[in-house]
Amino acid sequence: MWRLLTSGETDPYLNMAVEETLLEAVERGETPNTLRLWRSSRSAVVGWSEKPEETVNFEECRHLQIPVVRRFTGGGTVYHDLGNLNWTFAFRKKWEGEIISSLRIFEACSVPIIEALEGLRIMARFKPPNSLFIGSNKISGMAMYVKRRSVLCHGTLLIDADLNLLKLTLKRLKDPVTNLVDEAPSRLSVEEVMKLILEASEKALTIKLVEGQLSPSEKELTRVNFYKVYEPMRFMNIIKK
Amino acid sequence: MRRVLMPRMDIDMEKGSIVEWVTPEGGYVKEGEPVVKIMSEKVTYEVPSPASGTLYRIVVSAGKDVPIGRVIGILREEEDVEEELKAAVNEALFQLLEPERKEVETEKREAPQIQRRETSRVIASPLAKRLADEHGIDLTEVVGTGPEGRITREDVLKLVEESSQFSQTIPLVGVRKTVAERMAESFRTAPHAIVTMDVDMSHTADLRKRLKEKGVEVSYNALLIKATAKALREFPILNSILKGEEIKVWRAVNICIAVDTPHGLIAPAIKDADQRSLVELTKAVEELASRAREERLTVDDLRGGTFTITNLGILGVDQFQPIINPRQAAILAVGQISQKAVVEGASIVAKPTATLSLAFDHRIVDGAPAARFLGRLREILQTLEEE
Repeated sequence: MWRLLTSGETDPYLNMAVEETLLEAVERGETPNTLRLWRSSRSAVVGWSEKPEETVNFEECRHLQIPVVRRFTGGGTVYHDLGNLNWTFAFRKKWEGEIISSLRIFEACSVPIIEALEGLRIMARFKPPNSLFIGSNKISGMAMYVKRRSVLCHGTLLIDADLNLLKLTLKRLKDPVTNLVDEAPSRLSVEEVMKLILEASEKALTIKLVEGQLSPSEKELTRVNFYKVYEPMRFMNIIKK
Repeated sequence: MRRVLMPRMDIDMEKGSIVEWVTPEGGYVKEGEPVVKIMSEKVTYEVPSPASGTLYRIVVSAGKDVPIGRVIGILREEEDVEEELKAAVNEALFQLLEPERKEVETEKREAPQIQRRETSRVIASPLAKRLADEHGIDLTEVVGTGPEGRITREDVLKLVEESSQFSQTIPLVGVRKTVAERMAESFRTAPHAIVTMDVDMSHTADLRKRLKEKGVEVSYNALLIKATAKALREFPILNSILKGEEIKVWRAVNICIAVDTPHGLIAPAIKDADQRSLVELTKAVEELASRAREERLTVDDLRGGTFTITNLGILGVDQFQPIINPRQAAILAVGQISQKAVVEGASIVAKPTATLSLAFDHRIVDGAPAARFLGRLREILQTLEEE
């Protein structure tokens, strides 16, 4: 049994606080393995070890009022808006201190997405180390954080995002990107994609997903993380490491 | 004492970068708690501490890339002795200078990324044990040649015989070990040739005196470094390295000055020696030498040298044949300054003279250019003025 989280919260800073909380709670053994599907309102999300000045067009962001957030996982800088679906798998390792294969975990996490897209007659593929492509266009990137007892793997999925804004926000695009709506033979909605991902997840991981919510201690931890770490980013023009 | 190593956190990982030290230097950490965060590709890992203790020294700071298995920090446990900790730090710093070898391939075990202390479970025959007891021999120091490493009577006897021949056994570890390996490698791969010249040091003595009268303290080492740097600019082939089939001339002139420390020979580098004034060089040498003796040198101090000067003059040596520092083309040995009888015109006068010996890699430089370089260096030393 895995817990499913699909709350409608869209504040980018709050969402990041929840992500960090999630991993900590799973690590402590306080909550079951969790699959979270979430969306943030438009924002630039910078990888932990990147320098925002180098990857984000700050002037544009200020001008267009696009907030800049730094997440606790590594990787590149991405653009979120409500047309982008974020997915997160937070789970316990087989045993404490297990040495994982990040490649295999990235691949495993992409299976439900790929299968869901197959259901929409979209042929996507996993491109190592950590992306999903349709043809030569990228639709998803992922990142991972590994603790002693648990792992968090999360990623994006461009469904119907504003690609113009994306290109204005990010200084550099390593690969060309595309939306699912432009690749699907018929109309699709975010809700539909979510439903298919959930079904495919249950099948691929042979689990039962049970809708839940953050526990009181998780809510408290989120509150602390939010006010201490993430909310302050809102008021900083340049986020220092 | 435990070493914190760059761990293999992932089956395919070969190197990682340090994201952040969770435990600050001097801070306490419990066994199993995260001590440092590292990153490889798109994954961030929390590395658990191998034991409970204080983080004695961060050997590699955040932002740096390190291959698997290298020491990145030293953890101090309760009973640890300062000497042991310092030695471990030095050893770790030296290892970081080693070119990456494909030892990564041989380390494909899935077990712990963190070094464990050797357990001292000894397997020995009853006779061997009795013999060891009689002669006061520690069985953990005996190499067993029996089945499965079992210590036999013969193994113990061998050690008994040896210990009667030797008054002291010093294990080849730490700085000593690294120096041994590097010296052997250098001597084995680079054909060493030497040119020697005597230099009249009266001019430099006079220069020092004049500067001292103006209130400026300048050391002999600084003068040597300045003159050498100048000569290297005129003879860049001596400031190069042989990489495979190519001789590459270094852009900068970074001169290493050999320092004798309680733990052995260390040669930190003075960067851009040709661009520094005599006063700056004097200060830089003093600062590096004192840090070296206090074992506070950083990886940056030890990296990047392009030429080395080793001065045993202060210990009364006239002349010696040095071994070239690996990754360099030559090394200059300076002997003591002593009064020598010199013919000048029709008379014999006493002049303060020092012997310079230049050892050079004959694959890179021939005798003639080496001699010309040394000759020019002598000329500079005999005419050097403060700019």
